Amino acid sequence: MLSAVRSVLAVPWPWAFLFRNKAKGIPLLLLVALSVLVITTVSAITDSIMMSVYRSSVQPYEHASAIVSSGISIPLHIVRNLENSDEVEGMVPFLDSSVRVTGMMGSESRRVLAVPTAELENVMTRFHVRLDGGRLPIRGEPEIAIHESIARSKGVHVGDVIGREVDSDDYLWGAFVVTGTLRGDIPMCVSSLEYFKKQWIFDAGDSSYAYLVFPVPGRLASLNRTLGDKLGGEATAITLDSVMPAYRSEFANTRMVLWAVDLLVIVIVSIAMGLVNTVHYLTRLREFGLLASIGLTPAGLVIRTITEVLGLGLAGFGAGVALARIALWLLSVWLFEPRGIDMNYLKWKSIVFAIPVPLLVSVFSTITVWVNILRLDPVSIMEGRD
Amino acid sequence: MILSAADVGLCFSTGGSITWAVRHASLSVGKGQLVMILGPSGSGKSSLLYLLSGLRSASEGEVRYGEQLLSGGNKHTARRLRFTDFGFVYQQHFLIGYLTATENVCVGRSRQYLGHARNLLCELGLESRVNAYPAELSYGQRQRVALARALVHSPRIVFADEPTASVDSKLSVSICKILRDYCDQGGACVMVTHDEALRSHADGLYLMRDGILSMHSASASE
Repeated sequence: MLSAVRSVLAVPWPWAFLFRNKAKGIPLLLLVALSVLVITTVSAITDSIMMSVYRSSVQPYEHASAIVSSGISIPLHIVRNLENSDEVEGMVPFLDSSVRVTGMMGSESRRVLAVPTAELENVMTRFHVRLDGGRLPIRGEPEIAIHESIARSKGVHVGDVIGREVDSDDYLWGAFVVTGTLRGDIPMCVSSLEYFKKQWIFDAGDSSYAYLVFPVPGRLASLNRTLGDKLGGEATAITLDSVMPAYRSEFANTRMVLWAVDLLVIVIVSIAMGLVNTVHYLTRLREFGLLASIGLTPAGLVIRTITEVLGLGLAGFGAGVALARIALWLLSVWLFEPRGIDMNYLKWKSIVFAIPVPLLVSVFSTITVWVNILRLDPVSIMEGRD
Repeated sequence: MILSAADVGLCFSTGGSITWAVRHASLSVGKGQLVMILGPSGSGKSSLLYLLSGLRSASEGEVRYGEQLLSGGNKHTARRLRFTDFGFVYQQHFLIGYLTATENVCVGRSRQYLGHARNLLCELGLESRVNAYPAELSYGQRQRVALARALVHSPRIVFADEPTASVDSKLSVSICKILRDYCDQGGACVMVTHDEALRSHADGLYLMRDGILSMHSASASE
């Protein structure tokens, strides 16, 4: 076995054939590189779509849970009871609405959170969002501060107006003046709860229709476990645990498509590489016969083949990743970023999907050549009876 | 005695009938000896060479390399001996097109042989062609590269299958002389040829006809 492994170091280097026969080596390299490019790009785009929805719909619940009244408002005794709980650090009343932005796969919703103006900075800090330009909305005014990605997507600036009056796709009723832009992980808008309440047709009294419940650091999970029980049927709890299944279910099919594309590309490329390598093997029959006749073992020949194909696969993988990075960067800069869509083109997770390409291509190619090597008869080859 | 064969035979089964390519062949090769097997084409010379070198297993009889049983023995042993102790020269040069002359000489061997391969090519008059590819070499030069490939690992015995079959008489003599010198330096060689003009280089001469081997003389001078 050791001699078989040592044969890799023998003259010539196993990848000398492909390196010196560029007309044969480059197409194979491109085949692997293009398959890696396809898989990485599809994976990165899919991941970006999922991440975009996650950041907008799920991530807020990593920082706070919400309770929403089953009627017009949440009874004050429930609010007081929760505020006094060991797991709750603070509660902020809110109402919400949404605006539509262009996503990678059509229109996506972005939440508008209306909280008391005195609590705006507190809420933004808790959601890891900060004011990037302009100012925050004034109490009781139809004003809004929007995330910079939403501003880019809608093509609006500070001083412009958004809302259903100017864009019928928006759920946000009326017209709101953009006073500032926000930056941070969660693409959201903030507005004045006082203004929202003026438009609210119901009178919630001293209480509110909905509250954000901020947990004591590290107690979110235990808060979510008991939150429902503390509401006594008067309100519904919206927590990370309740939104996650919907998110997962929404993207279950997307993940399946991604895996199907991955599998399909890998199988097609593996078969193609296997066939091409068999053709290459047949054109190099005398080389293999010669090596066998001077005493190289079949195991040594197979290991040399594995090294050759794996070297090609890894080089193709590297080239494919580089091409994918360039392609995704160009897509991001020219197509997505101007539309407010953040693409995660630098994430290693996307590349992981393409790792099976060089591995399976090597395995499949080696198996096809292996079968031939096992039947190798150096004498027949040397006598030209191949 | 380096190599000995006793009553070896090789048969093929074709369409239900058995054809003997070699039958009851016995010979021995000692250190420093160049043994030549003469015979017409199709007489079984090459088949005998494959038996002697362990490339084919004998259908009958036995081949021994020193004390080791080569025919019918362990395939791994035969393979190891072909790599370490045996050298091969074939009728055609079988050089690999994408390798230089030097790389062709030590193909399949450790890179430590590269220096020795260059020296060997220089000794064979190819000092200006060490980095040339086979397509850039003349037929005679290619055959000398193939000869260097058989000698680069200093084998104890060289098996040469019609190494002069496709070369002119001058080059034939040159190749024979190289093999003769190798034997004189302590090696040994079994050479198959149909060129009777080369018999003067041999220490032992055998004739092969229709698969039957007969000793012509212990020394070519006889």
